[in-house]
Amino acid sequence: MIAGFKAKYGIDVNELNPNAGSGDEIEAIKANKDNTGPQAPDVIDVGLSFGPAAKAEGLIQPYKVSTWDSFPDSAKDSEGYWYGDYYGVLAMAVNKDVVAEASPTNFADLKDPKFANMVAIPGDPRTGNSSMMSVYAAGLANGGTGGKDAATAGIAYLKALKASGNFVDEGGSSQNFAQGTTPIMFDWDYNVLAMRDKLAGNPPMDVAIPSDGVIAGVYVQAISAYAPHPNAAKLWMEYLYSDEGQLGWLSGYCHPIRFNDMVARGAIPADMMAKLPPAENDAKAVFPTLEEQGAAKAVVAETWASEMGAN
Amino acid sequence: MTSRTHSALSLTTAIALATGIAQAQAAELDALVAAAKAEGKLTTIALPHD
Repeated sequence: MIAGFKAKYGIDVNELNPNAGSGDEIEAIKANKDNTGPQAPDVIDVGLSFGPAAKAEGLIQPYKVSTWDSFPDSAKDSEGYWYGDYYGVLAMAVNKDVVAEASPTNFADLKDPKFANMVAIPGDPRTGNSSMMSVYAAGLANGGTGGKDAATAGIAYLKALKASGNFVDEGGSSQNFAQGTTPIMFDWDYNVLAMRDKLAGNPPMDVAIPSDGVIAGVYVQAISAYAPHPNAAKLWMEYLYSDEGQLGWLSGYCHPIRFNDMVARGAIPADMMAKLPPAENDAKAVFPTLEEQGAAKAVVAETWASEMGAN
Repeated sequence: MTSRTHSALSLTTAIALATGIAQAQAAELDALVAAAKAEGKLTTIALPHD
């Protein structure tokens, strides 16, 4: 994606912290309001719920790209402050060097004592969107109906998993996964599938969409209100939302926001369609609304530390 | 006859308008590319994907 943009326009791209969570990205804007140097992000890529919050805090500026009308209304701010770029479905990766027997395929399986000291989420759900959504999915799998209820049930499930010794405090990452520190970990399907490509069988791994909690997460793009390079930022958005850019997301297993529009126009090559995760996951997936995510985040902010013994 | 002339005119107008819009958009994009190149840099954060 970045390489395509550089090649097309000859503009240098400075990539800050590839592993930053959504909360870290917002903090980076705040921390660099008066700084136009290389630490100040021009553009951010954050979980859906962070878009309206950043707009309310005056941290982002509006821009509507030329393909704006082909985005679904549900995935964009009507004033153009933030706009969905892609979504993924939460998946479980299983390191088969560590888990020799049958891989778990849902949240219920993970309670089994044979998975002691193995199960991880990406990081801290108070600041990271994928971690927050992992808690949410765990809640849906355990009787939670959505919003506050899903978060409460998800935290209760993880607390029990920690008490039984199955939950690992360490955040799930490609490195921790490969080394066996977090041999069963949750993350978005596109990250897990990209990790599988990268690890290339070392270790061998399984990927499953947890059958009892199928959840989709939408990420949104926005331009910082303090962007040192506002025109480059706008051009970046034009690139991301062009057919070329959207195919770039797709080649990384993400579902781009103009996916349906491009399918309708026959703009997606058949070999790319064939590499995507099975479509039945998308049909089953729950997309929590902004209100539900807001309610769930409030519960996590209030109870995660005390329930999980975290700092 | 009148109405046919009228619709033919409307169509011509619509095409002219659409062409004009497309040209305006292309011009805007050209201006944006020039302005972006002048800045020469873009800083992204948290983009792990290819």
